[in-house]
Amino acid sequence: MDPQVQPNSNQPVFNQPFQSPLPPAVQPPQVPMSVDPDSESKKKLLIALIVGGVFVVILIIVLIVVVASGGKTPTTKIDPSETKKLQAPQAATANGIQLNDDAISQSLSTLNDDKDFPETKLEDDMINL
Amino acid sequence: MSKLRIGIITLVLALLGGMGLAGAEPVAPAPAPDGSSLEQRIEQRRKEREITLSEKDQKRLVSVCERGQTKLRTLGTKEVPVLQKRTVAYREIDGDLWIAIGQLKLADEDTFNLEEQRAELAEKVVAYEILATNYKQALDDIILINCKADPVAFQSVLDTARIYNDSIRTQLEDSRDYVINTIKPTLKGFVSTLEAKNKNKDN
Repeated sequence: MDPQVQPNSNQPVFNQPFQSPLPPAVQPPQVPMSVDPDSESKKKLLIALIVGGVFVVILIIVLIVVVASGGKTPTTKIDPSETKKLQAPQAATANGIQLNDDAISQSLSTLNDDKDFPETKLEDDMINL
Repeated sequence: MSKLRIGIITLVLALLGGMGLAGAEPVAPAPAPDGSSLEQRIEQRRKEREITLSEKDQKRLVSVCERGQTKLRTLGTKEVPVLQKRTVAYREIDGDLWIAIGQLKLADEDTFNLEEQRAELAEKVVAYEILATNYKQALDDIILINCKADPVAFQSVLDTARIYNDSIRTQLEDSRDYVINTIKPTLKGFVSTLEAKNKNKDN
């Protein structure tokens, strides 16, 4: 038997190498490992969006907290007695100067120098000598 | 000149000198230097007072000085707020005067005299504060002295404290009189002036 059998012959084809009817697979061309610029920019955009979104969420939370706390701002209570000092200076009036004079008298009235510094304060008999 | 005349003149001069010494005022205590030690201050007061104690006085003092120190310790503690009260009161007065001066200037009043008086009072207050500091220092020192071993030092510092007490009283009296007899009349004058101005405005 002649191993070389033409496909068109009438004799059955046995012991012949199998010939796939499909065309051989086309191998994709070997491309070098370089970055796709489009995908890189997309990645950056995605990261930026994520970061921005997180920031916005934090901002919203802060706003909610502020609103929920009622918007109360700490106030410092001013002692009424300090109000006089905080006011802008005003031109003197007769009453105003009289008040100054009275305040000076008041300060003096709290002192009793004769009682607090008598001549005998450090005498021998006053200090058990 | 005869010897008799020379002798008479010498005698007269000696008598006059003796009288001068007898009437001499004790040396006023000087402020203790800043940062001075107890020993330095004791020596300073010892030299200033020049005290000589007889044997009898020394014995008496040695027998009673420790109970005196106990009394002085209590007194010294009580003196702190008493002294401070004066400082606070006169600073308040100074503040009131500054306010009056400012307001009077805004009212176009001549405040030169009042400003001078305020400055004069401020000097008196400073003088008081120096006396108070040295007085308190003397009281603090006297309780630290070993009075049995050195009664002269004890007496010197005690006499110093007594002089300061008298000086403080005098200074406070002077300051009070100045406020009442000088500063307050000036303020009363301004009250009258401003009342007159007000009346003129109404008319």
